[in-house]
Amino acid sequence: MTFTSPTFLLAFLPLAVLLHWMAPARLRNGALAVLSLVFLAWAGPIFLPPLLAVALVDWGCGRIITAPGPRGLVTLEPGGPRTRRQWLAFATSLTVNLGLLAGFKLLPAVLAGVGNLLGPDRGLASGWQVAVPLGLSFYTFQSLSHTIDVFRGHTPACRRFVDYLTYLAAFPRLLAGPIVRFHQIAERLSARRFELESFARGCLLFSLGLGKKVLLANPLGEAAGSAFAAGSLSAPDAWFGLLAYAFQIYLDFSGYTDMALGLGLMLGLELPPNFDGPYRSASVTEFWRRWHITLSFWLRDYVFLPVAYSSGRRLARLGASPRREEMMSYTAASMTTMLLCGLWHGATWGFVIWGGLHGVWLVGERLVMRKSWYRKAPRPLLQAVTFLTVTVAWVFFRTPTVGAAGHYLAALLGLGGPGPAASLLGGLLYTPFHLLALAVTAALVWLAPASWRLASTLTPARVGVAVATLWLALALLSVQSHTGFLYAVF
Amino acid sequence: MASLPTPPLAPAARPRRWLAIAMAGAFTATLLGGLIGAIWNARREGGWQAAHPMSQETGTASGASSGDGWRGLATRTREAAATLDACTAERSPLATTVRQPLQAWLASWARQGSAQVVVGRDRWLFFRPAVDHLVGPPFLAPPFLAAREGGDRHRDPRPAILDLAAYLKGRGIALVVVPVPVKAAIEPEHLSHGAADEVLPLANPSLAALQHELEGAGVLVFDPSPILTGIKRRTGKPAYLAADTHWRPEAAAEVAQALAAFLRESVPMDVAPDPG
Repeated sequence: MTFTSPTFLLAFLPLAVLLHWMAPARLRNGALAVLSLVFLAWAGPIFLPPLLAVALVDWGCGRIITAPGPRGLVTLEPGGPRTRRQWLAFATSLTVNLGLLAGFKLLPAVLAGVGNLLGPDRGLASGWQVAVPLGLSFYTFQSLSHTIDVFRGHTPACRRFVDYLTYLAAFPRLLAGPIVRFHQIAERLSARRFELESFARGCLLFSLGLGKKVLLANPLGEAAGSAFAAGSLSAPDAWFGLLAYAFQIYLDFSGYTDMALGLGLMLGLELPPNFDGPYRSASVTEFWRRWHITLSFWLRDYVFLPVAYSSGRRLARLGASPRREEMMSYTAASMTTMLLCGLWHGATWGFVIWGGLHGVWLVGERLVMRKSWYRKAPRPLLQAVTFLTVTVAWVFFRTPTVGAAGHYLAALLGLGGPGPAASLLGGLLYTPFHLLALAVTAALVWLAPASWRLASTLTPARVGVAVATLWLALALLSVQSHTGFLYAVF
Repeated sequence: MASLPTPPLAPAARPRRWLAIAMAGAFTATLLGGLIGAIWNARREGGWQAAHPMSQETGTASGASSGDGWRGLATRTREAAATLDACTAERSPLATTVRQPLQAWLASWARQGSAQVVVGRDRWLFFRPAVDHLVGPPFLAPPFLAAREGGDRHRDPRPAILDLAAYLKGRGIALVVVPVPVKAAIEPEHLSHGAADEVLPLANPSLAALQHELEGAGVLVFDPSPILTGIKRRTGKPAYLAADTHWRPEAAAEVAQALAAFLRESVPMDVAPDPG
C-alpha cells in the first residue's frame, strides 16, 4: 500500500485520519502507532519484526543512557563524562542499527561479489536473497539520530515506548522520510490537537504531491524507462531520456514528500520539508542544501562534522597550516560523506560512483569558489552548469551496472552507434503526453515556488488548483497501471 | 552541506476559515465519496469477490498453496490487499465515470497507451513488450541473459529449441522455426516519424545471430519478414491490421503459400513420422 494506491487513498487514509482524531488525546499516539503498523504489515507482516526490534532496542538504550532524575528523564550534560553502562547502551544501539543496514543492504552485494569470484556454483551467495525491509534506511537513520543526540546530551530520551514507536513508524514518513530528529517532533508528539487550518493545508499539500507523482513523474518515468532500456539510441534521444529521468526522480521524491508532509499536517505533525527548488542551485554545494534536505543534514551532523573535526585535529597535531588543514579536512569529510551517501542508496558500484562524483565536485567547488572569475560568473550560467553536472551524474544512479552507464554516456556524446531499430524510440519518447509533462515540469522546476511554501497560506487560487489537481490525478490513476515511488526501495 | 537552516512549515498568515473548510471538505468528500461509491457499486454486483473476478481466481489458486503460519498470513495479506486495491480502483464512481472518455482522450490526443499498448501515429496500436523487444538490447547478449537469469521470461531460447529439434529428429520429424516479426518491425512508420525511411524489416540485433545459429545446428528456419515487407512495397498497403497484432488476410494468405512451398522444398513429406 503506497500513497497512490486506491486502497490507501479511498480506504486507509480517510479511515485512519478519522480513527486517529476520534481516539482520546492520551491514546492518540497509540492509535497512530497501530495504524502505522497496519500500514507496514499491508506490504507484508515480515516487515514488522525489524522495525519493532529497532524501536525496542533504541528506546531501551535511550532510557539507559539518560539516567532518570527526580523530574523524569533529563538531558545529559553535553561533553560530560559517560559511564560504562551508557557507553554500552550507546554501542548496542549503534551495532543493532548499523548491523541491520549492513546485513540487509551490504551483505547480499558482498556475497554476490564473492559468488561471482567463486564461479557458477556459488553456494551460499546465490541463496542469500532477502527482501530489504520497507523503510529500513529511513527508520534506522532516524533511530540512530535519537540515540546519538541523547548520548551527546542534545535531547532527553523518549519516555514512553508508544511515543517512540510513533516517532519511528508514523506512516506518513515511514517509507521514504523525511528523516525527522526527535527534538523536532517531541513537543508535537505529546500534544496534538485538531486544527482545521492545518488539516486544510495538509489536504492542499497532499493533493499537490499526488499531482506531481501521477500527472508528471509517472509519464516522465515512462519516457525515461524507454530510453534507459533501449539497446542503442541517438544522442538527442539519450538526452531526452536523461532529462525525463532527472525530472522524474525529483517529482517522484518531492511529490512523495509533499504527500508525507500533508499527511503529517492532517494528523497534527509538522514534518520538515525535504526539497527547496534543488535544480535552481548555482553549485553542487547549494544543491545538497536543497535536495533531500533531511538526509543532507543527517549526514552533515553525524558524518561530515565528526570526520572534519577529527581529521582537522589530527592535521593540527601534525603541524599543518590552517589553510591546508581546512582544505584537507574538508576533502576527507566530503568524500567520506558522499561515498556513504551513495552506499546508503544501495551497494552497487553505480551508487558509489554517483556519490564519489558529488564528493569530487564539492571539493572542486571549494577550491574554485575563492577565484574571482567564479564569483563574477552570472548566476543563470552557474545554475545551468550545476543542473548539467547533477543530471549527468544521474546516469550512474539510474543504470543497473557501470557498463550500462558507460554505454549511456557514450550515447549522450553521440558515440552510441544507434542501430536501425533505434529510430523507433522516437515514437515512444516524443508523444504529446510526454512533451506536455516535460514542459509543465520545467515550468514548475524553474519558475514555481516549492509546494510546501504554497501550502503555508490558503488562497482561493491555490485551493482551486489543489482540488483540480486532486481530481485530475485520481482520474488518471483510474486508467494508469500502478507504479510505486522510486525512493521507497532505498 | 553546512549552513542552511531547515525551513519552517508554519503558516505564513492565518487563512480564511471558509477557505480551510472548502479545501478540507472537497478533499474529504472526494475520498470518502470514492470509498462509499466503490462499496455501493461492489455490493450491487454481489460483493468484492464478485466485483473483481480475478481476485476469485487468485484466491483459489493461492488458497491451496498459502498454508498456515507466517508465510500463509503473508500470502493472504497480499491477496486481500490486491483484491481491495483492484476493487477500489475499478468500482469508485470517479473511475466508472471517467475511465472510458479519459482513456479515449489520452489515446487519441495525447498518444498515451497503457502498460501493454503503445499508441502510434494515425491511431495505430502496438503491443508494448514487442516494441520493447525491438528497441531493446540484443537478447542474446550475455549481460541481458544474465540479468534475466532468475526470471521466467527472456531466458536464452537456444537450448530449448535445439533440445526439441534433437528430440524430434530422433523420431524422424524436422523442426521448422518461424520467427514471426513483431508489428513494429514491418510497420515502423506508424509508430515513429523518424522510422519512415528505414530499411525494412527492422529486427532485434540478436535475431540474425539466432537464425544463423539454428541453421548451423541443422534446424530449418522460415523467416516471413521479407514476404511481409514485399507485400507492403508491392501493394502500398500495410501487412498488419492497425488496431491489433494480426496480419491482414491477404498477407496471411501469401505467407501461408510461401511457407507451404518452403515445406515442400525442405522437408521430406513422403515418409510418415514415427508416432513414438
